[in-house]
Amino acid sequence: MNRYVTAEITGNFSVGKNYRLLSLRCPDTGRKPKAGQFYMVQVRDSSDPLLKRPFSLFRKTAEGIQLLYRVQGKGTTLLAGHVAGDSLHLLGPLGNGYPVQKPVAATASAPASVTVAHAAAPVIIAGGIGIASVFPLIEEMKGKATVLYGARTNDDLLLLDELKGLTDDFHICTDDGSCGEKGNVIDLLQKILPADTKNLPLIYACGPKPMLRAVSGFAVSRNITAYLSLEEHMACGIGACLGCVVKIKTKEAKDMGTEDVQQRESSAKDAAYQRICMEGPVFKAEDIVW
Amino acid sequence: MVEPLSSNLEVTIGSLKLKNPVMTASGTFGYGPEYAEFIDLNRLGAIVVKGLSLEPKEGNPPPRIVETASGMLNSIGLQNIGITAFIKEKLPFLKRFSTPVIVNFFGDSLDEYAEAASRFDGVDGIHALEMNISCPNKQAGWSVFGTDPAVTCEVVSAVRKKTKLPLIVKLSPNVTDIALMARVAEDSGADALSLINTLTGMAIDIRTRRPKLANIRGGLSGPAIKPVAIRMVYDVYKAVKIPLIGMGGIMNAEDALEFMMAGAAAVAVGTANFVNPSVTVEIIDGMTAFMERGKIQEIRSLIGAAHAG
Ligand SMILES: Cc1cc2nc3c(=O)[nH]c(=O)nc-3n(C[C@H](O)[C@H](O)[C@H](O)COP(=O)(O)OP(=O)(O)OC[C@H]3O[C@@H](n4cnc5c(N)ncnc54)[C@H](O)[C@@H]3O)c2cc1C
Ligand SMILES: Cc1cc2nc3c(=O)[nH]c(=O)nc-3n(C[C@H](O)[C@H](O)[C@H](O)COP(=O)(O)O)c2cc1C
Ligand code: FES
Repeated sequence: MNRYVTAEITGNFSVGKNYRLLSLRCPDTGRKPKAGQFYMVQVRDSSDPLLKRPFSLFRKTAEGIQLLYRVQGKGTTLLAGHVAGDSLHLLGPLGNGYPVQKPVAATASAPASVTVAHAAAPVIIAGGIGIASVFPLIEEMKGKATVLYGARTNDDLLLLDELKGLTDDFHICTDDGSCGEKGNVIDLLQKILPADTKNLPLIYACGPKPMLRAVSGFAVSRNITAYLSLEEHMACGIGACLGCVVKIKTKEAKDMGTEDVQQRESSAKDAAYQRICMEGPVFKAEDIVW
Repeated sequence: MVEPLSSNLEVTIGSLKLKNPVMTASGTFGYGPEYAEFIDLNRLGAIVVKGLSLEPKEGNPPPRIVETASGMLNSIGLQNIGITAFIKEKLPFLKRFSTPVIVNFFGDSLDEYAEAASRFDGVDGIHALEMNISCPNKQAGWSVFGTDPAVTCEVVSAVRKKTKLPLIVKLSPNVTDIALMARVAEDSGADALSLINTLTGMAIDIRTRRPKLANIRGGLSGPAIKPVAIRMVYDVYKAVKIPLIGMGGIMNAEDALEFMMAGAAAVAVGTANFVNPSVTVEIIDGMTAFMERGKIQEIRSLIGAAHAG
């Protein structure tokens, strides 16, 4: 069965001032959605709004999936008006999820250096509604992750009780200090990973672009592998329109090292556009041209 | 004896026979494989692939897409893998299907157009060329080829000399008199015409006070442009003798039939593929149902029907 299906809404509840949790019963397409993948949702069968909206997999359920969304513009406002029993068109799961490297024990086949490098629990960072994308990853880590969650205000922090139950190492910050520390996730990141940290963790992050860019800067400067989930306006979600691109360093450019690339005029050989819906939405921080 | 009624969807575009009039619009269907999961590509009248150029083209910076009322603006910037890579990497897949492949191409100079066209001649699996003249001309200060009759004549004639394949010229709608441009293309050797390409448009974010597209201007497509496209097909049908491929905002069978009655011998479905990846076969089925209901045997009989009387 192909990934374009009709799903039935079984719930569409408010989980905060401007946030909702949409539960969908979906036909089985034989694909197991992974953390970091996303769906394109047709909020209404009409020509306005015309295009489907992308939303991350929030949770896989027995009957289908759940999506967590912020009511933001035309499409999400219409989506908020749906009630249980309504149906909508859904395309997914799409894209590649977060690559998950389970900590491995040192064996003959796994070089010790690899084991050490990834022995530290991963750091998972969510900015605002980015929590929707990393939530299933946090669940998957079964408590073995450090979670940093930043938002503008207390009102934009969602599902705190659930999150606290999922990990012991949970840090919150808000721009206005209305909950957790006052500041952003980079401040938190610097605190939990001081310069002399030996066991460097993997980082996973989803959130607004300025945050991801800052996380990327931090990770690259500290030689940490970070996987970032990116967003761009999308029309098709299946790689056909070439609308959702981000510039990614080509292999040759990476082999040369960052300084060499910066010194030269940026040419097509150094980097090329890749599709966030197909090659992403998760990319390695060091590969992204901001 | 009464013959059993069966609806015949076959149409011809010059020497090209199509099993039905429904094609894909260039740039909205990738190179084909993107949609193989959702529809049987054998069912399509023809597959038109993303516009190709001699060298790979990087395209414009994002954001490249903005939704507008019943439509969308795009400024992809003709990103493509280049003719050589297409023939080597993408064409073998398309050859597995019985559906004719129409290659859309463009250049930024006369020589590039001519050279590009010659590259496709004799390549097995390519059934026709669609030349996109809605792109900027390097030699003329990057003004668009398809908006100046003299330049259109020159570039179409140059390509005509280089190819024996059926040549479809895709007109730009951003002109004052589309019928004039259509006649110029016909006189310069086009075997068929495609219309319409996207209408140039723009959108501004009132919060940031900046254009929403990184490239500032983009091409408007989708249901919003359909009435304009229907009118242009209607006008061009009166002006030329060669067959027309109609497109612009086709979302369902009714829209497609409207284009045929305006004068299109075939139609292309674009933006609708993004909304519903199986829309093309739904349109074909919808056309069959319409014919059965109306006891119409030949879909050909509908071409230009709106001009009667
Ligand atoms: C891979 C991916 C995963 C996402 N996951 C989630 C999620 O789990 N929860 C959530 O609340 N939001 C998520 N978003 C953002 C979400 O798609 C937008 O908030 C939504 O499209 C806004 O639609 P609208 O009609 O309400 O807003 P409008 O501003 O009216 O939308 C206008 C157009 O812009 C597009 N658009 C606006 N904002 C964005 C954006 N940030 N990213 C991409 N397109 C945008 C819309 O899709 C639409 O085409 C995700 C985006 C991407 C690309
Ligand atoms: C994302 C996108 C990319 C396009 N790329 C091309 C292209 O490469 N070459 C071309 O001739 N037309 C291109 N077009 C124009 C379409 O083929 C078609 O003429 C136009 O979109 C109108 O049809 P529609 O409203 O059904 O989309 C593109 C359109 C869109 C929306
Ligand atoms: S959304 Fe169309 S290529 Fe990614």
